[in-house]
Amino acid sequence: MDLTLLKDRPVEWLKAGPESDVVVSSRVRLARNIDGYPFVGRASERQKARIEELLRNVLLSAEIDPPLHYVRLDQIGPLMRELLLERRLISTEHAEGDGVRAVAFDDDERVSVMVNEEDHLRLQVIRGGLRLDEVHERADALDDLLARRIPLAYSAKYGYLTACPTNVGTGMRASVMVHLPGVVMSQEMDRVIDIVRGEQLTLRGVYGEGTHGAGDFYQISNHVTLGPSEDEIVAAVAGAARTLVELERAARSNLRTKHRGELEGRLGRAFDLLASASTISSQEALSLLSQIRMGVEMELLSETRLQTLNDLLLLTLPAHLQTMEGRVLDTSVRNELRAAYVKDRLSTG
Amino acid sequence: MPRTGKGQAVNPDENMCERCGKRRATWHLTDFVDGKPVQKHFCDECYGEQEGAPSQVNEAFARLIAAVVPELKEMALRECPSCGLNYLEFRHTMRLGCANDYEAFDKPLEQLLQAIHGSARHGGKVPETAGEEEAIRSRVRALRRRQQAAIAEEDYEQAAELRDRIKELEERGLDAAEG
Repeated sequence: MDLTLLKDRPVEWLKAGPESDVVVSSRVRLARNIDGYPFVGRASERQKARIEELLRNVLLSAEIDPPLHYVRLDQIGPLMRELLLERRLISTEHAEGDGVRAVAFDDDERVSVMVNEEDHLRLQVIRGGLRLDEVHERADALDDLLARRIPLAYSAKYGYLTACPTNVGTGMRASVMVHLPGVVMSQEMDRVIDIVRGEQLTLRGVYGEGTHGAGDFYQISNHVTLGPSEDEIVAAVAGAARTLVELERAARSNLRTKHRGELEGRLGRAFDLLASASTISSQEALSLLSQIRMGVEMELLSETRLQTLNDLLLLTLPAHLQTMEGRVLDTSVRNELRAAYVKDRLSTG
Repeated sequence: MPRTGKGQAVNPDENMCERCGKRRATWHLTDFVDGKPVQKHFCDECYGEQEGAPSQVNEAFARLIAAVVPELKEMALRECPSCGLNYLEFRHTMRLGCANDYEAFDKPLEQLLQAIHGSARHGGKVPETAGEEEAIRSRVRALRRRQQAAIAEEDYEQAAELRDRIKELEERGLDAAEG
């Protein structure tokens, strides 16, 4: 397929869903390996090519509905790989890796399968809003379908065998991306960290480094994969996500009651700045979009809609901008282009 | 400080203590005299009296090292016959080479998994190909964990319901095992 066509399409995980005033998306990833082949890190180029061929045949078979697009990452340029990364169809490791490797994804980008990442197969299902049960069910059904066609590395004692011992067992990572500007503004992140630790989960910033997430976007996920069942993992992550939703809503409601004037002023200024800037970095755009998003969710700002903001979150990222322009651009040109693009989008709604 | 080792001497001359000449030598040391290694052999009693003898603590430490070294050596030498990865290489990268490593690295890997996950036993999905018996065993383990949780929360009604479901599954498991 022509990957440049992706740039104009909204991604599924940025569409509204249950609890989407706080929850951006829900994702389940399963790691699997084919029995009888070394793991990717120790496989020869020839073995990797054979694994890729085996999986390509299965992934392109008629049983998978809707059918998947299939892209060889070693046959496309770095900009297209970055575009796939920004759309979260592949991981950073997969974008920057080497050798024969691929990704398969469906038309609405809910399902994506990485071939020859750290494990032979990394199957992911993602959707907007809090619906971890639903994405898990879909991932589980796809896993069954693949397992009927290829023998998977599995032991009764350790479950699904993976290259890294931190993934063995269920091979599952269940994660929920949340937007917590109210909690951050109220300086209550310590409470979030306590909740996440109490459930033995991991918290990390989606953008930027360390625990502080640029734009106040955070991801919670399980780190234990061996011992609990898939249902138990999903229940723990979804339960913690629900607690965070309540915490964020309470923080917003408190801000509205006690600091309404101040808040309206601050969010209004964020909108004006974003709508009038002549140059803007992706980090700054992200931070302003985050505040405006909160204003719209709290019905304190009526100048724009949530979907427009969600679209902008993706379209202002470097690879998307450059794909729209059809060429590689340096940072200062990108910043000007980003500002112009945002201005245009915000003025049309 | 001389290097210390305790154990059976191979050379018959090293059998007797060189200090008292009466008791069996149980300590075989390598000391350095003018930069050259010299072997020394003492019984337990004389060993303690010689100058520069290790203290009780050092002695205990030396015994511990002597016990652990062979184990470390064995771990380092442990190599997967399938992919050729050895355990030390794995600990350096934290990436296994193939599915067979999970068997080849056996105990040390099991301990590592216990430390990472707080468990070293899969409690989740069983692929259809693994057979009904294994699927039932896994289901029973999951229900037992829920039963424990219900008891901890003093939800005895739920715990009793889970007990009945476990019993029913176990009977089905026996039928499956007997074919």
